[in-house]
Amino acid sequence: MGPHRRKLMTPLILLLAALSIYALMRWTARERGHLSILEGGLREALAPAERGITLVVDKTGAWLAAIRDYSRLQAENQALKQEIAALKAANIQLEEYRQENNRLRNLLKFTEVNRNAFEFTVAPVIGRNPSNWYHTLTLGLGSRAGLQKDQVVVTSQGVVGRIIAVTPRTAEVLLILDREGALGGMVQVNRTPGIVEGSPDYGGYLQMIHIARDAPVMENQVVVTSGLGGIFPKGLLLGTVVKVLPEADGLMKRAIIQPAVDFDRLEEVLVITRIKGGIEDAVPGAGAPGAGRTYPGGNPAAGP
Amino acid sequence: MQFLGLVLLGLAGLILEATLLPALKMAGVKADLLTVILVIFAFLKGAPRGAALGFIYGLLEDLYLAKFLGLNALTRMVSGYLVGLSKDWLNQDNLLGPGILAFLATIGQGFLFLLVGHLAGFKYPWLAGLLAVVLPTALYNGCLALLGYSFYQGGAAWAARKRKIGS
Repeated sequence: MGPHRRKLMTPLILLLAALSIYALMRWTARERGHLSILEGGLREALAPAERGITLVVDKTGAWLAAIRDYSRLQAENQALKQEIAALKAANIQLEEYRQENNRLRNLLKFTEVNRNAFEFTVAPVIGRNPSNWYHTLTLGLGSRAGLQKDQVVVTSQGVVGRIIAVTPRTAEVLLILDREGALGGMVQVNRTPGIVEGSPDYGGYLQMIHIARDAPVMENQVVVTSGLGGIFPKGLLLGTVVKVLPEADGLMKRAIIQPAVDFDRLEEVLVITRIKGGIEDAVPGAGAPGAGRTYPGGNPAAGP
Repeated sequence: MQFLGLVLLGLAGLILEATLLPALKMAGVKADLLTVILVIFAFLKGAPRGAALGFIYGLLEDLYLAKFLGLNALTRMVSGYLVGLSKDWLNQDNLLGPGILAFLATIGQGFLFLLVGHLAGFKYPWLAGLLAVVLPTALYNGCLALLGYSFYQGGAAWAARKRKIGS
């Protein structure tokens, strides 16, 4: 090949190469179903490295951001923790208020139902008897609030007991659960009378004693105060008969009564400071035969 | 000073029995903290001081209850004295000692309480009193005394070590 022809070959090769590249560009510009082996192989080969580097960069960026923000986040975390603690405390307080509101609402409902019969004072329970032998409560109100010995203490559920001692700021309540807190009771539906007292062998239960063997006393019957004894007004709810047992002498039987009041969970109680019209007339209709229905939240004998 | 501390401890026990312990009832009874403290004290200090503390604690309780004044003073004094007799023949390192003594003392005290109570007009049925009140209280007190004495021994050992290091 002469020097003249060699001079022509170089631009020709360049032109061909340019055309080929142009054609390749045009061909690869279109959307393709498959990449070429080279393209695919390269991409596959680089992918792990790309993935690793991207991960490192991302993580490093996040770590750097975290380090940069650490003190701010720490302060924010602290503030959020404090806020959570404050909200929890507020929530607990609100729950206390809610429950107190419910209890007071029940007591209010009870006082409204019975406002023609009694005058009440709401008193908080501040202590219980430290001994296992007696069942008494200490109230946070005393003679300064008009509380006196022998006033009857109730809740919207039923009878709690009676005041046995007062100081200017406290009053001691003998629960009906106590052996010495015996009172006159009767089975509401059939007016069977008896003495109700704390049961010595069924802890936390009452018992009605001196019931004639043939008296129609059965389980699930409601027991109310009979008004006998001169302290407890007639017709206040005491509890429900859960068991009837024969006495050893064979002539009498006794009924075990589940008290209507949960004595372990008393927080506020109502003290009956005045009975309008005397013990017998305190609860209108309580003495009427067949007055055997109970009214939730109200005096069982007071009627709707 | 120790006397005043013990009286304050007794008062704190009474307040706890009237407020917190009703929520921690087991088998229908609450722990008798005064008996537990009395038993541990009498076990450590002997009969005369046990009787004296028993009398004071009983009197405090009687005054608080405002009922049968002297009944608890008498029963606690007797139990403090009898428990205190064990000082001479029981090893004070024995952690079980106060637990067993508290169990027995509560039973004896309960029995005496019922006996003297009957004489004083507190007519609690014997069998129900012993089974439903005295026995569960004795078990509760026994466990508490065991725990309390373990804490006491641990505290005493710690204080002795501190004194040794200090000197």
